[in-house]
Amino acid sequence: MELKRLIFMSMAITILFVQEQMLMIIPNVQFTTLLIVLYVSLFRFKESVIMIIVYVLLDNLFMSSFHPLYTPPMFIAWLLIPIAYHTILRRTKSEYKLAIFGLVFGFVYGWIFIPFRMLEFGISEFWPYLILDIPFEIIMAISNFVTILWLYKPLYRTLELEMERLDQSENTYTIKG
Amino acid sequence: MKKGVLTVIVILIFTVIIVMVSSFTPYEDGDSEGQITIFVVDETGTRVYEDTFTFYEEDTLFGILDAYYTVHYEEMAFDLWDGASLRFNRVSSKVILGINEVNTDFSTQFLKISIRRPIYEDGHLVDYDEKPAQTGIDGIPLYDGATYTFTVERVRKGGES
Repeated sequence: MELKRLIFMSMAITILFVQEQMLMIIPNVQFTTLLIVLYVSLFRFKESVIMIIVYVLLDNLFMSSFHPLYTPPMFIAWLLIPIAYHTILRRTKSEYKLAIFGLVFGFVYGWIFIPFRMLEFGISEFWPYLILDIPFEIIMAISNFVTILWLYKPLYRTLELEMERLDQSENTYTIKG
Repeated sequence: MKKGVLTVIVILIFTVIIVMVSSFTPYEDGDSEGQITIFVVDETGTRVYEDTFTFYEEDTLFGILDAYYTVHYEEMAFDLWDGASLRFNRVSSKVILGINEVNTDFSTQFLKISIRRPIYEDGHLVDYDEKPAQTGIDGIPLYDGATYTFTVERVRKGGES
């Protein structure tokens, strides 16, 4: 992996992590899904997976929330984005399709935690958890939908330009080298 | 469809869903009046108190305990992990530390609350449903004929069975 690309990735993870910590005061309102969708569409699949792994590890480390029943569902949930993008979404750049995906993902994200909650609290907690989590899922879904619909295209254009510049400078460096 | 219109439509639809879901609670409401029995069990397993009280619509379990016993409690704030929002939510609730002389320190011991509720079919008692409380004392409903047991339990450490 090229060094400049690696630096670009680390900067992207920093932005992802910092925005989430800054927006903690507003429950479930964050740009995390938007940024991961954006990174997934800009970076290669392998790079996206590495970024998500680093982000989840960093988040759990900072929040002291490493737990065999919390950390794995987080990995599964966030890794669904690059998997879905490269399969069912067919690498689309349409902000409408991605916004609808973000809307659905808001619910899927919450549901992924349910089996792990069942293991922890027993099957009797299924309905209470499912129902009580719906408002939070809806907030996340709306937040995902609105941010992707309005911000995906401008952010994508800006970052794509930067990536092109990066690739050009890499090529120049390679030729010179 | 323009983005603005689409955004407003989605927000409106889901706001309505939030309002509808919020009005529906997965936990059942209690009865408006009736009788409950309270058991207090100490660390040796001895039932120290066994009392029956009548309750009415405005009563709460904590209110009844507080009226008839010397209740030691603390308002405690917990950081509950909420998987969906990826963060700990701070919730505050009363925690019963002791009832009269039956006390716990909440670090090595705690008071476990169990609810034994009669199940009726066509007005006849058919069975009892017994389970540990799924909420804090403030969220436990009062059921007619139910027994609420407060048992001193030892805090289990990692690896202890």
